[in-house]
Amino acid sequence: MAALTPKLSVRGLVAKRASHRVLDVPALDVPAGRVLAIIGPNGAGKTTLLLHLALLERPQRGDVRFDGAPSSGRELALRRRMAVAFQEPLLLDRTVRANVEEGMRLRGVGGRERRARADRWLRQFGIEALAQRSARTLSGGEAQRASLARAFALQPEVLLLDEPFSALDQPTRETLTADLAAALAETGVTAVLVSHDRDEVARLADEVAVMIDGRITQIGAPADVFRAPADEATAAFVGVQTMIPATVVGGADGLLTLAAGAHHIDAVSGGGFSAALVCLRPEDISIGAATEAAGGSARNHLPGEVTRITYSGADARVEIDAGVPLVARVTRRSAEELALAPGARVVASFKATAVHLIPR
Amino acid sequence: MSAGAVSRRGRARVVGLGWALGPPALLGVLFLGLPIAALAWRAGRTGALAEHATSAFVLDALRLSAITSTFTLLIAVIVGTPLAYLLARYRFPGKWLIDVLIDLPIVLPPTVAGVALLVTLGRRGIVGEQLDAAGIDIAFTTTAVVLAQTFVAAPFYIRTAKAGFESVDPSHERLAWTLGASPLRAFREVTLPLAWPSLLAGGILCWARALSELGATLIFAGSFQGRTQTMPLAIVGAFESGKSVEVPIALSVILVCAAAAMLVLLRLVTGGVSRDAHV
Repeated sequence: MAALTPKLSVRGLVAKRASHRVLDVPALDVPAGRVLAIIGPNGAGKTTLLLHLALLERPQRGDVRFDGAPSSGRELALRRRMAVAFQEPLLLDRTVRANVEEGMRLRGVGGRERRARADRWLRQFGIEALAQRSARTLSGGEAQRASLARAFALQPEVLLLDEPFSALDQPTRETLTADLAAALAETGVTAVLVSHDRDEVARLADEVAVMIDGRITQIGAPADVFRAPADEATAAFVGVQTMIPATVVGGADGLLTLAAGAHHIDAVSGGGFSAALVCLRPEDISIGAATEAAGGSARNHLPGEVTRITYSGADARVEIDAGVPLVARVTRRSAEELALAPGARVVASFKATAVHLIPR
Repeated sequence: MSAGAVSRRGRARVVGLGWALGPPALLGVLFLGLPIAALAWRAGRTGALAEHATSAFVLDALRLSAITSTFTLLIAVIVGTPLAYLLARYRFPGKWLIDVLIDLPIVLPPTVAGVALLVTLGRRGIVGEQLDAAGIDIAFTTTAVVLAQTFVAAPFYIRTAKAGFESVDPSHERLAWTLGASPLRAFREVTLPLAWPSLLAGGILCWARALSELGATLIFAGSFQGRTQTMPLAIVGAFESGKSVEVPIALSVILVCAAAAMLVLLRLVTGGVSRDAHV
């Protein structure tokens, strides 16, 4: 394939609201056939970026390029080569089928072709039985299926998805994510997905861009970004809850030893810096009773005292003061077995490979 | 539904004041209803209503009112719809000033509107002088009647239409764009159907206001039978010229019927469901 030109790209894009920069993206490329997720906290500018990509908002500075060429002046023609699914399904008060056919009708697709494509996508999203139902009677999940069917039936070159599942309950979201993943894989459509759900991104996206405060702080494969966030804000967003400032005190053979408070922490790292932020995900920290002999494959063992414990569902979030603050997540069952409560003496353990270092 | 607050038929049960509300309410209803009833009773008793209603004096006024108020409505819709959409959708400097300007004719005494139009478009008015030099004379013509009515009545359409456009969620328009509609088509196929009840209601209000216009017309257009004497002016004219009291009664009954028909229509329109609502 000679096509190295990205399908969709952004150059020098700046958007302001009342002189505040809500968007500042010097460059962003979406290669053809790839799914790029834009992830970030609420108000980070993700949706604003998507609206610019959808050519629904005009950039104050910079431009959005389609197949490498500026989009300015041909927005309508280019919008007809894209499709968008919003957080709200935004259906007309007509039948489900009429809704799925609506975009094709607006783009001048002939009646026979329209019906065939509608049939295919109604089936693909499992709502063929609802075709004649009024959109008004649909559940949230069904409505979102209709919205996705409408977008896919347009056979777009670029598909833009703005948090399509964020208003849905967890089980509905999971089945719909699976169906969307299948549809994306089957069509090979270039897609941009705005999300704040890490699991959704991990399942759907080839690449993820983290957006914080209007800027893209990191871009890469989801597994890499989630495992090795580039900075503190990104780390906090991707689920790192323990961040300890530390200084490098030694190292050999790819193993680095850092001093944090009174402790030494071993981490697998190439080094090349003298100070770093030790990042740990709560699920990577395990807790044992203080009396137990430290065992297992973990290399780091920090004795400390439980300061707070909060339960959610089958999990318990445990805050530990080990001279440095740690946050661990254990199952409710093991929290009960260990009789974890504020004041309990414990040992927090984690592997050297679980440590991610952000050089400072 | 919270227990007890709403009866089975969905009517709220008033707690507390109850019967104390009766006498003043009844007085209000009587005060508003009695004059209309009196008009109908007088018209029915004289029996000569049909004869007066078909006199040239009344027919001229009727014809002129129908024509001028229809033109007024057309102008309000053609000019007012884009303006209402602009005000509903866009933010721009000086917008508040336009809002005030639109509200002003609603609160202004119509005679003031007449004077304002006269000093603008009258023969010695700031624009009228130029027009006069070009041989165009507006004051005291049927055109002046339409302009006076438009000045006073168009704000009713613009206000209502603006509220209608504001009630349409812009994300529906945006979706139509992403589906491939041009902005104009999205407006026609999404925005208009959704705002339709408000536009229709605004049109009816505007038309009814134009139909009842008196003060501005009297000053800017005068009262000439067949040219500027619309029905409200004809009523005044009939009293002044000492015509039989049956003539103004006939005119009044026709106007009451027209107004009542409009109100019923308005109820039907605003009470109905919009044709193509989104979910």
